Amino acid sequence: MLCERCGQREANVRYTEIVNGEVTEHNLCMECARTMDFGGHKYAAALFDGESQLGRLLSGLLGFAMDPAEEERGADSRSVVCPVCHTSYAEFVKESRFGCADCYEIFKLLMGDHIKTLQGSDTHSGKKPMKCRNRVHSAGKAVAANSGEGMQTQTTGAEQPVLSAQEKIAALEAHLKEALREEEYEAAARYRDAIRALKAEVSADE
Amino acid sequence: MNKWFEITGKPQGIVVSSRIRLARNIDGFVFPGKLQEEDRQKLLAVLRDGLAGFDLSYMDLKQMNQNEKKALKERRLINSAIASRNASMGLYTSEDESVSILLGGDDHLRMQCLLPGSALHKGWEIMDELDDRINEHFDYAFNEKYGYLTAFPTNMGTGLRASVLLHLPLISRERDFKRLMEEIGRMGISLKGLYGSDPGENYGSLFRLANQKTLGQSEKEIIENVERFAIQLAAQERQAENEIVRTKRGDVEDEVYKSFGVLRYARKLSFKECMMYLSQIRMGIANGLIQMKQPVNIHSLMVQAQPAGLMQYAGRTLSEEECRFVRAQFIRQNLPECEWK
Repeated sequence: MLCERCGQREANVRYTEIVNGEVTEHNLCMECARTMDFGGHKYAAALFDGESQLGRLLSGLLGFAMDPAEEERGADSRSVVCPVCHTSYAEFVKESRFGCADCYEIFKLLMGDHIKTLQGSDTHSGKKPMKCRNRVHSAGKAVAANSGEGMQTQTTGAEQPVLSAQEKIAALEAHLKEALREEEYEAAARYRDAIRALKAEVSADE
Repeated sequence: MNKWFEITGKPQGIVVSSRIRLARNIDGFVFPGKLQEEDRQKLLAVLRDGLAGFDLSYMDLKQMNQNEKKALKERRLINSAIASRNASMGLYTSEDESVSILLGGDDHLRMQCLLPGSALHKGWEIMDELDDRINEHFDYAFNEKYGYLTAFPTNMGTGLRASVLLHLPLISRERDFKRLMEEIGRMGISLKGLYGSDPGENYGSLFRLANQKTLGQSEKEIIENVERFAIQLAAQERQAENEIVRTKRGDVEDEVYKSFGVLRYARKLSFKECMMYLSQIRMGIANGLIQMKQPVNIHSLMVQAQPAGLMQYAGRTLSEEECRFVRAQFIRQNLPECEWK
């Protein structure tokens, strides 16, 4: 199929727009798609129509940059799995739904700026709870004292719900090596940035 | 006790009702979508234990049949996705159903407050307090950056959805209304038909205005923003109604009284017809074109004229055809006589 915009190049991006329940599909080539303002205000509104459909639209957003070749290269990030609820990144992208509170930590490196595109902001402002679990980036301090005994009901049955920063870095470094070996430089760059960000966070904590 | 939507005697203006909803998850459990049935029941037990002292009555949704759940959906206590789900879930409601808490839906807790008229701030006060009371019993899943953590990224942050139901019989008929809906959408607010999404196919001219974004704005900002749009839309509708009453009073009165006549005497009513005529009467009452001999809440009739509610009224399952007969009967019984002018 040819791109509906230029009519010249092969269409390899399908963008589904839902405005007030009306579904419109656009088939675009990568070049034309890049020039269009999907992430900006013009189309972001369509992402908020209803909760579950919206979910699917967010997945469009997260999966957006992936042409077939990139998708193959992206296989590594897709295999990242939340250790607590076993939601994989691919599943998260598909359902646009977090499986548990820890998914936020696990997937935030991969989500990049998409939350900002979706929400118009990436930082909470507003009410804060009186009591919540204190998440700290080091193993052993993860669960707040107030959580009830025996309440740690995870599908894994594992006790430690949070990957420590060091563990995350190790996982990402393994991915990075793998990506370099496969000469997947874009994926590698993503891991490199993620590792850098994590390390910066760790040193800030200490 | 009357339900929140049944109260009569208050002005029935363009802003029909206001709703504040908060999504919260507690520490120690993965989100409900990822819970196996056994863990789900543990979650419900833990939540019920914490909420035991609250002055709310509990319903086990798993024990309810499809129609009972649909009736809850029609009264806006749960959404249609929840109504069709069979997993273990629970619902706490206050006696007038203005306050409710859904347990184990898409998030561990979804609490909401439904109030008649324009009352978002009041609703927020009530929810804010309830939220604090619940928080005394549970640690919430919260993160300094992303705020309250929810299953859907579209709720993260405040977890707040503030919405008002607007009755817009005139401006929704205008040609530009669809474009207006889209434009409002671009401002981070959604305007959607409550029954039927296309403005041309909307039953009862009821529209829900709600915030789309939940992250980065405070609760107060979100509420004020929704309120601002509500006031603007209501003012436009008010102006259009005043104008048409001024210039075409006879024609509008004719429509209102014809609608009354049909509702008063019809033997069969489809939901669409029923909503269309009730909408006319609501507009007629609001503009002083028709007076009822007894106080009546038109929105309440709209809520109760839906299929599952009618089946509860009739006390049995109804086919679509039977539903129309029962609907007409229900309306004849509950719509009072009007004053002869």
